[in-house]
Amino acid sequence: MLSDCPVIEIENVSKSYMTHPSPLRRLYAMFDRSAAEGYEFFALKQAHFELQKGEVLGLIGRNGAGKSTLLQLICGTLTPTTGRITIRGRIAALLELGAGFNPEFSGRENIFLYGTVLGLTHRELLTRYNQIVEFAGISAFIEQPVKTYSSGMYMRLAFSIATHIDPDILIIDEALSVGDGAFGRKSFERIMELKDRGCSIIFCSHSLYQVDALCHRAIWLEAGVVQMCDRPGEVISAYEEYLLQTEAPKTISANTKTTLGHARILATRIFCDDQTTYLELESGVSELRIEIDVRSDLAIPAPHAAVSIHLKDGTTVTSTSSHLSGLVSARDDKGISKLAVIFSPCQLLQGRYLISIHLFCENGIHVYESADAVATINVRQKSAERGVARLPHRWVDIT
Amino acid sequence: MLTSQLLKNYLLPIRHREIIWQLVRREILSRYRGSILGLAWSLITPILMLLVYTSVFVGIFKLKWPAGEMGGGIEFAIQLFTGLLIFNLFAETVTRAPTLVLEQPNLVKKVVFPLEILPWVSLGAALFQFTVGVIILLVAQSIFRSIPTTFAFFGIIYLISFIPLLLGIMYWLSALGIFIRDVSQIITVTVTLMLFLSPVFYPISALSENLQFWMWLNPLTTIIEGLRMTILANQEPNWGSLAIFTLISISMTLSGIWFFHSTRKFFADVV
Repeated sequence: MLSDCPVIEIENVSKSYMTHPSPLRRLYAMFDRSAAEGYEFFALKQAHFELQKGEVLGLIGRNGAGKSTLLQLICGTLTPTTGRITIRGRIAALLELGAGFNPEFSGRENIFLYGTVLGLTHRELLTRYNQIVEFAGISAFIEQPVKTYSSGMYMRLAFSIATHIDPDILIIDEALSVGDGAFGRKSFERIMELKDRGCSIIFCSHSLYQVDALCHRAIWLEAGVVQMCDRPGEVISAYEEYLLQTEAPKTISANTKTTLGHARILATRIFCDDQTTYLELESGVSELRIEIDVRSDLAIPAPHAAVSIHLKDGTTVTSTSSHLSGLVSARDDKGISKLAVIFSPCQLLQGRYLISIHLFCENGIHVYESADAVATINVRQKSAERGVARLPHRWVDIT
Repeated sequence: MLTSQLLKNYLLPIRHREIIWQLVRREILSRYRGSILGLAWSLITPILMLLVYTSVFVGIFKLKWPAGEMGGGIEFAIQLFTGLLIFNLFAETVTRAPTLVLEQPNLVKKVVFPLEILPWVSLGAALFQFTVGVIILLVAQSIFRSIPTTFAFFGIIYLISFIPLLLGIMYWLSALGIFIRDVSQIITVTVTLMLFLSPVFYPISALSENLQFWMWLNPLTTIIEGLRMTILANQEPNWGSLAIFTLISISMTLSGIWFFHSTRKFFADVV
């Protein structure tokens, strides 16, 4: 049975490019692979996986990891150097929308031309024609050459054609932003509709939460090699961990070479009387402690951290910074420093407050990073004072 | 290797007839788009060219067509026109061939497009202009000389045997042109040279026997002289040379398909 077979089978597929060959050597290498040795760069190495009918597969990895190469190989615009790819069904690729259009042709002609390229007969296209035009929402311009279209109209038409060919497999690249917000939602719904109909999807994205939410399975590519292929949750956490590990030394070593140093907030922790789960404190009694982990390029002076406390409407109640306190933090060899600011006892009055954390340069001017409203704290109060904060004061009898 | 399915895709691309038809139509129409006379130019241009050549060669240079029946201006014009007809078909398809695929990076890299139809599109557009020319030739022949006899039919056989040769050259050059960009320049010069090395402005009989031998190595000679023999002189074709020519023509196509097909999977890496 056809339906039992995987719709895509990738068997030990590699793709290599020749780097800087002479034209003649490249031509020769086509007939004798050994001529390419020493000039090869592998964009994809020994990929091996399958995609079942109705399955949604997420593809994650850093830029240049080989994601696009893999997608192009599946679409058939690139051919594998070694290995075999078997496709069962019709593919709709939402990679570079409208790339197959002829700008001189009208919208109508492009529907038929592009549709035929995608494998539909003239008759099939006739029955879908109205749907395609209606979905794209360009019926008024359908007789105009597509070179006169706005980029949004162009993309909408291409998206509409690609998703109306009854694909069995949908390939979506991360940079899929089709037109304005309204059409963006419509296109997302269209993809979901195809998914519900049993269309298999390969989905490539940098937004990991989307991959987690939509996919049944995820593949993590790094330097052309499949690192992991498993449930999205597992793959994403492994990928995130990897990113944290590798990017730390990389950022610093990269930054020491450039004049522009950088600093980042790594983590923040907020304690109310050593409690982190319930951020509640009692006015004038409890201790509020805010810890900030910062990483910075060792080539730049240690940055300063600042904390500001706001009302819900954004009004700043107070702020404080390590710069104004004259504290210069020590850094370890990775450039990581840990700071804490302690309000003890916390003199905020009853109400809800937002806490924001900022990272400034050594002079307290340039903002490296701001983390707005990282936490909300609740302040209870026993006494009857009113306002937002208790100021240092004393009462004296002067009668 | 060349399988039958593969050959069918290349030689008889009926599966893509709709795309080919649309692209050919577009190519022809775009040539005259926006002009007042439109498609009529495809008729006017060859007639004007005929007048220009005739008035220059006959009116100014006082040239006569060697061994011509009438030898006058009309004779020269018709003989020259036959030669130019073939040469222009050759020049138009071959000159464009090296950039045929190269100029369509989107079709190579972005979509899965049947690239093997591009030479057919180019050929189709050129054949349209050529057909108009043949009609003009037949009309002129009927009016000024004699009504074409059944031998004129054999002229069509010459033309049919010419098509695989053109396709073969186009497959070779369009694939080669992707990897070696110099091909385009070389071909431009070669085609210009071919205008004078082919019996366009003169009949082959005007040359010495020694030269004639070399001339027959030029495929255009067979076609041009063959057309003159059948359509203009109402003679039976030279079956021997026609058979050899057809064989060469077919082997050119097959080798062209082989080369195009075996290099095509690398197109996207280079374009």
